[in-house]
Amino acid sequence: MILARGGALGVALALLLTASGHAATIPVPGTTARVEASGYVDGLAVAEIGGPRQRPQALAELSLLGKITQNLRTQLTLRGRAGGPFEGGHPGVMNLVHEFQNRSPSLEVNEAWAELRLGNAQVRAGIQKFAWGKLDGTPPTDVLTPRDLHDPLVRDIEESKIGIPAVQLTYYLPPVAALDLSELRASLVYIPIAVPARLALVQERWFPPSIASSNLAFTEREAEEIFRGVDFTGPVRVPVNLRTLNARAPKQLDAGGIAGRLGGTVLQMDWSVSHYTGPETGPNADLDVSVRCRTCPTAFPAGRLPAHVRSFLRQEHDIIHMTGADASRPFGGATVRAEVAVFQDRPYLRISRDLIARALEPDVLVRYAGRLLGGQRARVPLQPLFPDRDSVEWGIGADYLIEGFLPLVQVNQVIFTDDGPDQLLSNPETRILGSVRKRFLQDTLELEVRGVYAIERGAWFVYPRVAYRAGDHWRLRLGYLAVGGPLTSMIGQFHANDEFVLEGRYSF
Amino acid sequence: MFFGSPPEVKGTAFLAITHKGKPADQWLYLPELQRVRQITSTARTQSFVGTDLTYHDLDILTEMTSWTEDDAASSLRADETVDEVACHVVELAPKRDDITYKKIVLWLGKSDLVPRRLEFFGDEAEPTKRITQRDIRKVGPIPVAYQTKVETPASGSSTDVVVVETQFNQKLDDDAFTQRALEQGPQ
Repeated sequence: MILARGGALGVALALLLTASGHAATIPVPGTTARVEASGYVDGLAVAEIGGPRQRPQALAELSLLGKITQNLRTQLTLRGRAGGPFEGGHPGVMNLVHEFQNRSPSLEVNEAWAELRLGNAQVRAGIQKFAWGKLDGTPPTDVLTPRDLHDPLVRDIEESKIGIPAVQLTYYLPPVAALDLSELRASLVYIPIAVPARLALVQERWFPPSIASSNLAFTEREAEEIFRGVDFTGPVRVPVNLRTLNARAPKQLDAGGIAGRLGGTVLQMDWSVSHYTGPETGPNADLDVSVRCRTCPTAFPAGRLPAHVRSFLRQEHDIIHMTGADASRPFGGATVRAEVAVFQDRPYLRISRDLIARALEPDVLVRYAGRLLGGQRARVPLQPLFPDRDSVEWGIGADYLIEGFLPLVQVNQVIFTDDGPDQLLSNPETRILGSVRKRFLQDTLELEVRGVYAIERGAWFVYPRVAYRAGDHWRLRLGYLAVGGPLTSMIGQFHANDEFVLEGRYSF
Repeated sequence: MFFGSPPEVKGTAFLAITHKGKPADQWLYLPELQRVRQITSTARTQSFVGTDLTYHDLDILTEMTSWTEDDAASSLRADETVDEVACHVVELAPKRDDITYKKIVLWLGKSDLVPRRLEFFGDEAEPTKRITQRDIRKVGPIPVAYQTKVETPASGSSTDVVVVETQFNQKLDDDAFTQRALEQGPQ
């Protein structure tokens, strides 16, 4: 184990050093094959205004594109990372099956595929990433590829994607002149195993505060309402020990996924329709809670409840169904993009305090109070933290260049179409996404402001940043992330996490 | 057009399909988005990956050779010499709304009709953009400028285009000019 960790550390450091070299095209002796190397070394530092800390991070990516023959290509992309959001991490290799991974330094195989082109058909097999949908931000139909959510707002969405093992067959169809249809393509994807998103751990800066709870506190009166007939001698405080727990996805054939997509261009409009049935690639977990009060047999009759809660946030696996469509088209000087995804059985996060409140209601309490008060560990029956819901996620947006400024406005909405409990998202949850970009000094300097406002919840974030390109290899970015809103909202729960962000990247 | 360097734009790919008498259809593949995006008419006034050329300029340069009097009124001015090459001087006054320049002046080498200089004018007397072509070599029967300088006099900036190698008649498949080809990258 020590050797394995040392090896991973060595590989990560080697990757960092190798990546600091220059791009190269290397011919393979005796063949017409060649390998193109490229990548970047990235340093990111955060100055926290509040919230948990985040250490400086080094990230390196090395990409090797092999052009073996005219019809056969391969791609290997390795990523090494050190520092950053991880707390108390161990060196290691990121695996594809665990939702909670605490690795620093780490090595990750982000892509490793081979692609064969045979006429109008193309087969790509191996660890790969998909980019579906047309909207900015996170497109609703872009569900095949999970993301690393250890730093969810600052990191670029495509860069945060985790490669998944898959076989993709694409067939390029001939144009249909009578219908002005062109660029027609049909793709079928088979995903043999479930690859989850990677979520922040409890001690990390971006662990959702709506789930975290350091303790449960009740006034004397509240405690007496819960345990009727008991005369408490004061307020009750129950410490909660929350940990994360991985649970590997099932390996059966039906635990994987299949997807299909048909797309093309008609009358200047790029469009596609798609379907996915497979593992949820967004956050998905459950709370496994037990409570123990060793001295309750004597303390409880005396009006005290010296209990301790042990809680595990356990990785969960669900199969979701998504049927969607997207389109984009220029209208005059504007580009309009629209997208809709209809989901069945998609897990959405609830507010954990709602689950706890339900567990303290008399009809539930009676199910575990006996063991608790008898001094034994009692499992608390909680409702699912991520119940499966049916929903429609859609959005429409447009950008338009004015005097060199490129403003973008987009509306996204999530609507739950079944009956279910209250979620962290409201029903509907409407978000306005806006951004403005402007480049100066022959594109060497770029100013960008982007932000999101969730109307019903009153939650928001805004992230202005300036990027400067120095020469052909360097890019420096300085930004400020501000987050606001209530704890009971997806964005607002991170309202304490305002931060300055400084990033330097050397690309080769 | 595929960009192999500098690293900041590596992987970016550009496709333009020009049409006689109307603006080209243009697409850009951006590796950071992993998606192909259409370039709108207003976005064409933006700089083409940080150069002194805009997407609109590229469209004009590609399409101009097929212009007729319906696209731009032409008049011949007195001959001049550019870089010691005797040139015809042709002044064009575009008529189409999608061409934003008011006047375009070309200096065409008398012997090969290759443009040695092009100046694009807006409302001002000074050219908005000046393109100078040098080191003309024949690749088979086709003369090619191996050095091109694009200047923006107002900002004092310039872009040098240096051609390293040119090949014609490579029997490229029509599929090479599709969005699919942009995503797949160069062979």
